[in-house]
Amino acid sequence: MDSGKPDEPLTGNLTGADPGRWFRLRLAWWSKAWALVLVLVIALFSALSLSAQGEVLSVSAQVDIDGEVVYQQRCAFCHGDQGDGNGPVARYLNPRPRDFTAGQFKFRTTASGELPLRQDVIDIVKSGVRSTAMPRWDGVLSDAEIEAVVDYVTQSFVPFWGTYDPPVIEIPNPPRVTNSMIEQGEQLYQELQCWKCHGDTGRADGGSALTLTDDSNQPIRPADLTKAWRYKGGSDLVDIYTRFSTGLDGSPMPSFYDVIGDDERYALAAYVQSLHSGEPTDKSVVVAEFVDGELPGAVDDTRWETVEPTSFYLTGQVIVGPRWQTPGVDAVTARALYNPTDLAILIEWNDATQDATSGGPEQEQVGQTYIDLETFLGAGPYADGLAVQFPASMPEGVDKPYFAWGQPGKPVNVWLWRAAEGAQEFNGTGLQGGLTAQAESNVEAQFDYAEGHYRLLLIRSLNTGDPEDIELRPGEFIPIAFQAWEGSNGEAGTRMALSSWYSLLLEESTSTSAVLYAALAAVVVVAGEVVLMRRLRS
Amino acid sequence: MKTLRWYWLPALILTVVLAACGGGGEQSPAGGEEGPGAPTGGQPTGGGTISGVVNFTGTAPDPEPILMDAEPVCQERYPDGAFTETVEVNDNGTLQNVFLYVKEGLVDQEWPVSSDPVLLDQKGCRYGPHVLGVQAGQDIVIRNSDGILHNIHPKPINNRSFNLGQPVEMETTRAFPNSEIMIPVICDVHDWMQGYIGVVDHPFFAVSGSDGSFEISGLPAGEYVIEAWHELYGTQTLSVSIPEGGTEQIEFTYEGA
Repeated sequence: MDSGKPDEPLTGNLTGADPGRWFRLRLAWWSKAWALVLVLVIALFSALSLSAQGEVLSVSAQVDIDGEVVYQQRCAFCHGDQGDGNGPVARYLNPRPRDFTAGQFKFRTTASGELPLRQDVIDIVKSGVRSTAMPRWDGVLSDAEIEAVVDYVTQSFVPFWGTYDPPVIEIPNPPRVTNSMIEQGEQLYQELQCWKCHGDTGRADGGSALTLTDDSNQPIRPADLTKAWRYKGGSDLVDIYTRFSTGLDGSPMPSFYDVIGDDERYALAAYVQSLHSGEPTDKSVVVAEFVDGELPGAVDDTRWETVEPTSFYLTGQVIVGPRWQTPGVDAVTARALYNPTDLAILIEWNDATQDATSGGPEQEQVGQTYIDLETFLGAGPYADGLAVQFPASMPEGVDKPYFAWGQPGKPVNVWLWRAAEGAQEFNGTGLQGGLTAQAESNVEAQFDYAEGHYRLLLIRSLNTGDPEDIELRPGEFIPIAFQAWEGSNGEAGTRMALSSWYSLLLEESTSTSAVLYAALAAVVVVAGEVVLMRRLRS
Repeated sequence: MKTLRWYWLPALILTVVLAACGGGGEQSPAGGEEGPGAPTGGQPTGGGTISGVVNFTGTAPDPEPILMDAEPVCQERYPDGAFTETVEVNDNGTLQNVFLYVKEGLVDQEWPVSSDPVLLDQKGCRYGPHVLGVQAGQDIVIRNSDGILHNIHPKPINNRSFNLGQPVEMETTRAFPNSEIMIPVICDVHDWMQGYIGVVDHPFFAVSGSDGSFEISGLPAGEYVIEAWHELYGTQTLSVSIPEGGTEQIEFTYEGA
């Protein structure tokens, strides 16, 4: 504290400042005390406000969030002001929004016919319902808002709510799936006769499938069990198990809780999971492998089993009226092979009904367009169909024709197959103009339909010499798109499902000469380096 | 402020608590203790009976054939073909499958529920009986006699529904706690299957049989309104006065097109 004796070495306090000086100032004691109190008060206040920061979110739970306001802002346009599922947009939706006043909920953990738990409803609001218009509200609404709106909906609209405790179904943890479980599940699928509605291969083509109605007497189809991504309640093992146990109230799907035990229900769930197939991934190229010889001429040629498939989503055509919100076909799977002269492309898709008759004229005339339902095809019936679309000529750069049947100046070349008429090549310049049949069609087709599943083989030469036909050259990413029609869904012309542009690649085989040249080049380079190193060293 | 003694507050609290709990509401006795002729032990023991027939005049619609190709196990039970049961006119000009029940006139009390269940059978891909009467809370045994997949799917409004799979010969028991006229019952697997369940709060109901007749017995003396229900022709009511232990005959008449 003292300034120290002159002959002592410096002790690190280079400036000579004395920090303790302030306290030794001769201020009145009370001013020091007030200053200290002020400092303490400020410190305490900061500490309190910092800790309060962490509690802001839960404070909002205590602040009354008006569930009715959330409902009006977020829910009422589908679910209706009266909670009866009759909001202004409900008529465009399939499936329709939940009618809360009916008190039937599909996804819950309670016994058949019973009300859901409050937590079940919260879970649905958070996760949304896949493959429907019900969005995932988790992350959009806060937990407090979700709870408030669930309380509003259940207390205002759901009959019997709060009058009793619904019996809960215990959901045991899913076991590890084994092959014997899947076999047992397959046996159960047969014995319980799930195939009556879901079909022998799960493709919703069972004998009773077309007669089903939901509780509002609207037609409803059983789930296509192969399409995992379409399971509304989730496709994990425990999700499927829960569906068997609770049933899907409001729909024809019953509960089998009284019929088979936990292990058996999990085995059945494992079998159902084993049916999953054809789910599109982010793979966007159909790779056609080279075949040095004859291409397969039939859909059941065993060579197709070794070709890598690629699956694509299809969606309804909503660009020109009538806007097709609920198409019948929602995914296709493609495989392709090519040889020096031809391309063979195998396309597969699910369709619960085979519609092979068309109300339209029997013969395609040159120049007739495939578009206008009323004048061209009449009122039906309509036949199933599938189309593979290419640009009429390879685009320069990235400028592809419009994905839906092209545009004026950028036509498309469409290989259209219809169950009533077979395959024919068309050209199109947009949805307004429709597709026009070519005078000379070069595409051939072979198909089969079994158990809710179509396989279609289209074969055409790589280069037809027709300027309106796409020329398929190896090594190029050729734009390719798909369209599909399910006849019994009233689909024909522009009422269709379609995809955006993907790519077809005719894989170039690596010739032996290329390998040899590469090897030779490698040898020369290595030899050259050795020589150079020797020179440097010496 | 005047100082209160220390014991006033606990005394006050104790008084309030005792007053709230000690009194208690009078428990209403379970049924069967008051009223003349009120039933005891589950069986109506009043002596009055209403019996009668449901007549049918005019032309009934032709029964429509049911296509049972999807279910050969059931189809072969109908070598002459299966037909809808919407209007079943008996040979003697009476109407079958009319549900009748006492709508008004009963003493307001709890009528004991029989411990005997009623049976709803699925046989030949049909519901037997086509129209079933049951008391609220009374067990219904739902039997699958066919051994093929049926699902039992009633669609009530005043009661909770259920949808249960029955893939083999088996029985499931359920009950409806609330009265409801009438609950449609369907099977989703077989879309032609249709049945009806009438649930009433008391045991005074009947279904007209294959001779059009019905009987509701055990009624105390009184003035009653009887309602008849038919799935196509709707409801009708009749008033009837029953003396103690007496029998009254009534007739309903439904007219076809």
